[in-house]
Amino acid sequence: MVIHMNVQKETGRTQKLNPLTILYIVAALAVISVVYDYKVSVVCVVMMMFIAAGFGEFTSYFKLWCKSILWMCALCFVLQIFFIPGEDIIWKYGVFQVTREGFGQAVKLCSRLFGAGSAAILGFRLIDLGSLMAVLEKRGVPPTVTYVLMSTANIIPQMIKRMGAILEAQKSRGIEMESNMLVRAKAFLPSIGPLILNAIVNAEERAITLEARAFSAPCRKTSIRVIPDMQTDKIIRGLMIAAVILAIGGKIILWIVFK
Amino acid sequence: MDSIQITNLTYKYPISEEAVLKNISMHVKEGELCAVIGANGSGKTTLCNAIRGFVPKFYKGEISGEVIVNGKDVQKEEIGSTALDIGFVFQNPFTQISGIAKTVFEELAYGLENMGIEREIIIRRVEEIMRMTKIEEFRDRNPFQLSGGQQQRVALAAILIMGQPVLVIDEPTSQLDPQSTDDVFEVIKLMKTMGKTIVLVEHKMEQIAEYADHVIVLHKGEAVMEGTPKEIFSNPLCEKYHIRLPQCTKIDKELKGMGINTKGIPVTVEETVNGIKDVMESKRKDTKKWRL
Amino acid sequence: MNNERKGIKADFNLITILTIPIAIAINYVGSTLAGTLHLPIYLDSIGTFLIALIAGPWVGGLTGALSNIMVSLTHPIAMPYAIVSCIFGITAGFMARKGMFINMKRFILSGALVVLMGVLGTIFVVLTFFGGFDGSTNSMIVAAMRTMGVPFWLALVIGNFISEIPDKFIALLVPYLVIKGMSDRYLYKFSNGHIFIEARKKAKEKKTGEKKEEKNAEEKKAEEKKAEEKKIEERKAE
Repeated sequence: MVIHMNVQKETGRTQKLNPLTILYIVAALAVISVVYDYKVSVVCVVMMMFIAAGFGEFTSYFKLWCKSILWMCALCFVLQIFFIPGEDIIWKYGVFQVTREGFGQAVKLCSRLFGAGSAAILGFRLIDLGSLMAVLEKRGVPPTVTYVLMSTANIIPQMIKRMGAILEAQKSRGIEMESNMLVRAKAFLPSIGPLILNAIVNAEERAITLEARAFSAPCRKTSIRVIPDMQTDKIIRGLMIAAVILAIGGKIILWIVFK
Repeated sequence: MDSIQITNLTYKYPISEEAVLKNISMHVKEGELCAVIGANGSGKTTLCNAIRGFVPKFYKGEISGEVIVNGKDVQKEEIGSTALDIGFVFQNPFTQISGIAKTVFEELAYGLENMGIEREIIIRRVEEIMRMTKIEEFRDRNPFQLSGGQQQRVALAAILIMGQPVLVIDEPTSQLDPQSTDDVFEVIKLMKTMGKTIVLVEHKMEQIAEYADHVIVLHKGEAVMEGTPKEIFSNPLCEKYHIRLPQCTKIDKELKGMGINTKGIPVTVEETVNGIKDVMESKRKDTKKWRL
Repeated sequence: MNNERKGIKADFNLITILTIPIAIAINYVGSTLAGTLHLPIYLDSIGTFLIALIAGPWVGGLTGALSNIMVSLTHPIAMPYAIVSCIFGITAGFMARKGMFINMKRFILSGALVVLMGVLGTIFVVLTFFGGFDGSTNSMIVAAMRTMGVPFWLALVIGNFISEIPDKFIALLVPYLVIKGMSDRYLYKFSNGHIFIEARKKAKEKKTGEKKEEKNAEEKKAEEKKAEEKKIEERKAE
């Protein structure tokens, strides 16, 4: 756990952490909590909370976490303990029964979901996509890949906005959004059809725009973003890699010993 | 010196039956603003695409003839490297933003980043171009959230900043309101004073009469007329090719019809005013003479 | 079609690459819209199917996987289903490449295959990652069947078919109709485009051919009628 202490010591300066470093931290925590049992997962998630706090993102992270992770894991857990088939019944009420196998399975699966899921949304909250892409591009990831990811992140809110406008137009044309399902289903196609056609036509023009901006020019690209990569970043990344290797190695040893 | 030389250019889109460009030959001198006009479907946009090399590389189809821009054969160049020689701006302002920039500042920097320019130089150039094109106020705005007119000015600035000597601008104002049109033409005027060679497709004849050095009329894929704006607009063939005349020229035509004989055919406001002034002066002189 | 290239590299031309973000956004918008309209299906794969149909299996598979990865940043449960989305893209893309999306009959056949692959893929994922229950509406159906005493495996298969059949058929129908409305000019730029264009041409030729035949038949009838009338007149004259 020495490794993780390091991260927490850095919290005063975490704002300056390289996005790649944050990605390493998040990925390491995710891997560790997936490899080990629920106790480790809980520790990892608590650590994530601290990291979020270190970045001054605790409230927003916690809200998102409650809404998606907590709720999702609870729901899965309940369903799994009751309905995963098993022999050894430990609790029973009417048609509902909890088996030892089902319970064990549910704890195992949900703890993985808990750890990996919390890590995913932590990464989402803390990493600025643009900066991460700039770093990756510098490290040799092709610009088409970074473009697709960045552009997706930008297009989704635009499309949602446009869909809102189309829905409004549909409503003003008298298409009921609150009536029976057939009517609502019928509203679906005229809402999404124009959106799709328009988007495809736009793709062609966007391609021309990119060509005009030297997207496929035979040049080495530069970036105006300055993303510092300090000694601490390198150290943390090294430690994270070591932690993951140790965790997986340890797991294998445990597995051999217990076998 | 000719900056753009097109000889016997014929082009057919892959699925169309008929050629869109038929045996077009034209020259544009360095630093000249060449306006391309013609009815819808006359091949103006295709001509622009051919100069930039999108035809046939992007749209495929069959091409014959030659397009030489600043000594380079566009068809033989890679589609990516032509970006360094020719700037390209088109109609739709909404699709002319890169889609990955968070601010107008980043949007302007994007082209230079792709060209591999040093960071410090990029920042300096962006500041400079924003000042010149008067878009400093948008600096930190999200390009997606600008109005059409503002986006079009950003698009022009984003190309201007790349510093290509030749610019192809295809109907930049067709989706804009009058105020934005004026703003866009301010930028085009700036480009001209910077010595760029410009090919401009435009429907607003008043602006063409004012800014163009040279006009080419396309009709059903053929270049049917060529000359200065004055030569073109005073040519009676305009009617045949559905070329709308500038308001001033129309006014003059009406006046002549009423028996007021102005000298020549004016194409700009200034010329019309002078023409009418001259007629009135001479009339006054006539009446004076008669009184004496 | 003289300058047509083949292979995966040709599948990923610039327009296709730029359509990938759009397809992902369509997936997102589709599922949001289904939510807004309170429809009981997901409709989160319309974009994947659209791009798979026009640009082939590899682009389709990549888009599907990428789409789920994007969604999982806020809804981590979607992450393992990237495998299923990838399968959807690949299956639909392959079928489209074989011309299996050019008319309604073939569409239904392809749709059935997509549903089957979807059910198999989903069952695999939901078992390995969630023990059979991921908290979705689908797992509620399975749970309900379990309480009624339906065996686990059967419940899983039935439950998945119930949710996949309407969802995938509608999610495929939307791109099918959109492609019908797309002009050749746009279709042409995607690697599967020529399949749809040629099918369209053939359908058109067939139609005009049938019309010609009809015309010929009418003319023949008219001639026969005339001949008969003539005969009658001749008889009258006699």
